[in-house]
Amino acid sequence: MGNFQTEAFLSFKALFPWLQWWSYLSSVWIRPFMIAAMFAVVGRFAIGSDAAERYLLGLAVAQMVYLSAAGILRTFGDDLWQGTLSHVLCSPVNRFRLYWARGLPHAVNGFLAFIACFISVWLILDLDLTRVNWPAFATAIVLICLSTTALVMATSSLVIATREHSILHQVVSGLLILLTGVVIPVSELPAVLRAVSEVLPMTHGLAGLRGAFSGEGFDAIGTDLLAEAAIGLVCTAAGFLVFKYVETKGRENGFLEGGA
Amino acid sequence: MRYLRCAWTAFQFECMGFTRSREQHFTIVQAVPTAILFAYIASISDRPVAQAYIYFGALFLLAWANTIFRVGWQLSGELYGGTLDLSIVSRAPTFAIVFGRAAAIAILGVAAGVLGIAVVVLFTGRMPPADSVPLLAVSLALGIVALLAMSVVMSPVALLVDARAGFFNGLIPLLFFFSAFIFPASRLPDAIEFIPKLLPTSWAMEAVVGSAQGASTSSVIEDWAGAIGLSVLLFVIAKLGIDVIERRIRVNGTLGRS
Repeated sequence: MGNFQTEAFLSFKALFPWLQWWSYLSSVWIRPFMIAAMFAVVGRFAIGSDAAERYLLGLAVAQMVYLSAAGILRTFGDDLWQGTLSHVLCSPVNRFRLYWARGLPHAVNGFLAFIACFISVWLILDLDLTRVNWPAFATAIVLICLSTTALVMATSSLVIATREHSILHQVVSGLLILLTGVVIPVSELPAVLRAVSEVLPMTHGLAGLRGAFSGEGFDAIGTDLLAEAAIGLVCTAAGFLVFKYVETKGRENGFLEGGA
Repeated sequence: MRYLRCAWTAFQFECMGFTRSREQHFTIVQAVPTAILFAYIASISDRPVAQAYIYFGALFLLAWANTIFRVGWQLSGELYGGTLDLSIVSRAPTFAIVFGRAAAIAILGVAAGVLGIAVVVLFTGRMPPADSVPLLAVSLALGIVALLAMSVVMSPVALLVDARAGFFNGLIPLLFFFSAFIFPASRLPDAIEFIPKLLPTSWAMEAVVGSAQGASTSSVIEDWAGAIGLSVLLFVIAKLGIDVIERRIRVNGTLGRS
């Protein structure tokens, strides 16, 4: 556990050696809050109050994923370009631990972004929290955080293979924001996209989160939460297999060294 | 004349750089998912004013993030890259260079913004409203000028506050929120309703929506005056900021910092 913490801390610290407080708050608090608030105002302006509440929750979750995905994908990208990836992958540490140590600090960061956004919306835009079922709400958001992190971690191996992180970040974030019911209800998507949506992390978790926000308990949203957990586990297993495959191929073909 | 020549050369330089950079091409499409979300909202809305805001707001949305970010980093990027030395020791006015490059970035961004309108048209199945095409054309042009003014002022600000990576992450959506591109200032809570009125973009956008929705010519001209006045003010602030930076750099000898 001690090594896990050290690996996690060092990978985070190495990624953000330039970090200033303004930059951190700008990314973790101001950006998620402003985007969620913008959609809330547009929703209220164009449709009505119900839409505003729906968009607020969806965008707060989407911003959590956006932030953690940016960090995770860049961790792998920077390791590649700065020439440290080969050192990391030559070390005799447990691969599963190494894999997750690089994602977890960013998942925590994303989680903080959600909390900061949610509290700001509550204080500034007067969000009604009287109906919320807090245990179910907390479980749903933690599950979404972990399952989406698992998906981004699975994508991160592709950074090594494609030597590209910003485009992958936009693709993953774009797919999640469009197909998981953040603004556009899943039921209104074309059949093919609806099928894709059903197997993406966040779709079921967000439905459960909205249910818990309206006061529903585990009995009502349990199926959604179980589906979210199952998708997260599949992404974890698949992502780790891809990571191992890319590592093996990287050793054979020598593409673990930096450079675009 | 010297200002114009420098600005034009910087404009051409930036356009050439754009055509050669794959990464910059991608930055144009990265706001498309957000444009799709707004387009969906427009398609289920039954309020014509809201739809008009979303149509034309989508145009500026695609230009916004890229323009503010790239223009904002211009001077800081040159300082850390070590090329600001050359700009400052040359006889070309730094403001003209920043302005020329920013104009290229803004215009290319707005050209890409047509993609934003196309997305909304696809979703709603309707063309954007245009009650008075000449008034609308002038209003859109003033919207670009307002966008340019806001991005140019960011360039000295970023350097003066010693901004590092992540600085613009929150600033871009914060300014977009208060720019009132996507909803009128009157939809904000009373306590913060005055903020968009301090930015030229909200006046320009009022003029755009007014022209599209058949507002009186006098009210559109009033909005033009607000947009022009505030844009000029921002250009003056940017020029003063760049002068401060030039003086400080020459006195402190901080050129080529890395």
